[in-house]
Amino acid sequence: MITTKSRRRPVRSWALLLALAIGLAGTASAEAALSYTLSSDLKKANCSGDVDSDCLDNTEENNLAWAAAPWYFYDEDEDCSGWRNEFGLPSVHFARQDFFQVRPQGDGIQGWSPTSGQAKWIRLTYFFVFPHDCRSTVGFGGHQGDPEYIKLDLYSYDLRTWYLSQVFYAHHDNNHYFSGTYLEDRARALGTSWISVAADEDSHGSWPGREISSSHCAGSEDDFCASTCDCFVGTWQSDFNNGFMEVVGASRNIGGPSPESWNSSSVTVSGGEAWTELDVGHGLNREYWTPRSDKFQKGCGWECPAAYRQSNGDCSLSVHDRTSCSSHLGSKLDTSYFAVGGGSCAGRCGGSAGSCYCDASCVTYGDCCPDACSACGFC
Amino acid sequence: MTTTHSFLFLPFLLVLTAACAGTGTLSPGPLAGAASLAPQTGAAAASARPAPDPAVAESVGRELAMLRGVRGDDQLRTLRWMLAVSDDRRLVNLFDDTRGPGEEGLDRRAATARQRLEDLATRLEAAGHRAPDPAGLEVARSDPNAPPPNWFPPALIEELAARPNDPVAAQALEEARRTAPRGSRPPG
Repeated sequence: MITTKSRRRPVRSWALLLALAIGLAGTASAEAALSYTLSSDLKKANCSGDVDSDCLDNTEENNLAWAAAPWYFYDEDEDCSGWRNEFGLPSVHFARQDFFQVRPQGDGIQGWSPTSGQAKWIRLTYFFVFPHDCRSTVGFGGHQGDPEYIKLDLYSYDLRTWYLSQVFYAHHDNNHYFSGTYLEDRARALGTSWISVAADEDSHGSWPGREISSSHCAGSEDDFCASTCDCFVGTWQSDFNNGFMEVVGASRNIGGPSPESWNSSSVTVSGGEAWTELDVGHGLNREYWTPRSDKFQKGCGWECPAAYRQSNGDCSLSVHDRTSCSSHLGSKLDTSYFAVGGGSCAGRCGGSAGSCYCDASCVTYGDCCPDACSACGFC
Repeated sequence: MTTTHSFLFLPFLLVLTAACAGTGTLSPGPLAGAASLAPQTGAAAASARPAPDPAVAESVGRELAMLRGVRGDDQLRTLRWMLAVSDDRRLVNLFDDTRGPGEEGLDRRAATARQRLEDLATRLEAAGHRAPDPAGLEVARSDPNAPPPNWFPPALIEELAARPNDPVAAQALEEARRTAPRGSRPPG
């Protein structure tokens, strides 16, 4: 088996190198990047191995999520997590629940080839869903439910090695992109090949870290707290060296909203609905991933029993001194456009669809989708 | 008789010489010949070996959730790939009881996780599953010469454009528009 592969590899390698050389002509020069390499292609012939309708092999989706999973750090004053909580309760009450979503970008996914010479893109979203936000700052009280997330944009030429382009870190609705080069530089300084997520105290906004010799969450991006925010027990470096961190879990691949489908091995799926039921110390409660307009329209971190959920989504039962709930899980999902086949303008007028466009300019640029005229009137 | 034998031996000698010369040109080294035979040997071995007991792969899937429902040979390939990771501490999130936080430190939990993975791989091998050795494969690395992307999805460009006050998004947008301007088709 090994020899068969090694006999084939030169052909594939030469074709890949040639395609890369052609494809890269005229593009920017090489830059340092964190990269993650799978043991087989993320997308297989005939979309084999796909169970969530995105044409990607789910085994390799899981493997990539594991391979790229960030380190996760808590601040020394953290009192609202599985690591430690101010209530002296069992850790299950506050333990972070990790999920992830892998979604291809663009169209023609079924035609992705390791030798095409074109960069293929995916977005890998990690969800860090805390049952509770214990923040007690005046004017910024905590709440039940605390869904946090980051989004990694990765690209690959050969469908095995995936390069980190940028990461979107979400923190208290004041979110930022951080470049792959910034993150690679910090990771290398730290002595690792993985990015970091540092949670701010008790409310768990996600930050990439700043200097390895400091406890800062980020650079100017965290000035909302007048540079008083810190995200590590000691310094970033000392925490890393002492093992004061966790590895984000990568065992719950949720699939995603259409055109993806929900992954029933990680979420409960019924009809068009998808939800997760967990017992975080208050009985088995449900949170939806699909949008709701009823009492489940907010996220209560599995703390609020259905009978106590109010019509506005909050909870009439006080749990850890809070009754209000957070934003809905579904609001954190990656819903960006992709198409396994060709891009279509249906419902996309004025925007793009995969690798083509559905706006008035597409006529001038000559990059209209095939149905831009019939669907949107741009002819 | 001796003359006849020598005459018959000459073509054989020529063929042998040509074969050796060819081997040397294509792939020097004593293993070249053996390597070229390996596919036949491997295929023959694969067809000759009894089908592995599916219960073994099922038991591996029960112990390592990520491998649930995965075929035995693919489980073994994935396990070897995981074991090739450069930092054992990465292994702790594979098992519920090593994920932490817990009484034991990260290094100790990592050692436990590695041992379990090795045991699972050994069990699959013993059951007859086969997978290539990922020698030299780096699961994660900092690549100083990563090839830049030669195409950006329009949806990503639109997302970046929607964040005009984010300097990193603005810089990425500029690069994306330069690399994949309107009217250009994806390369390849």
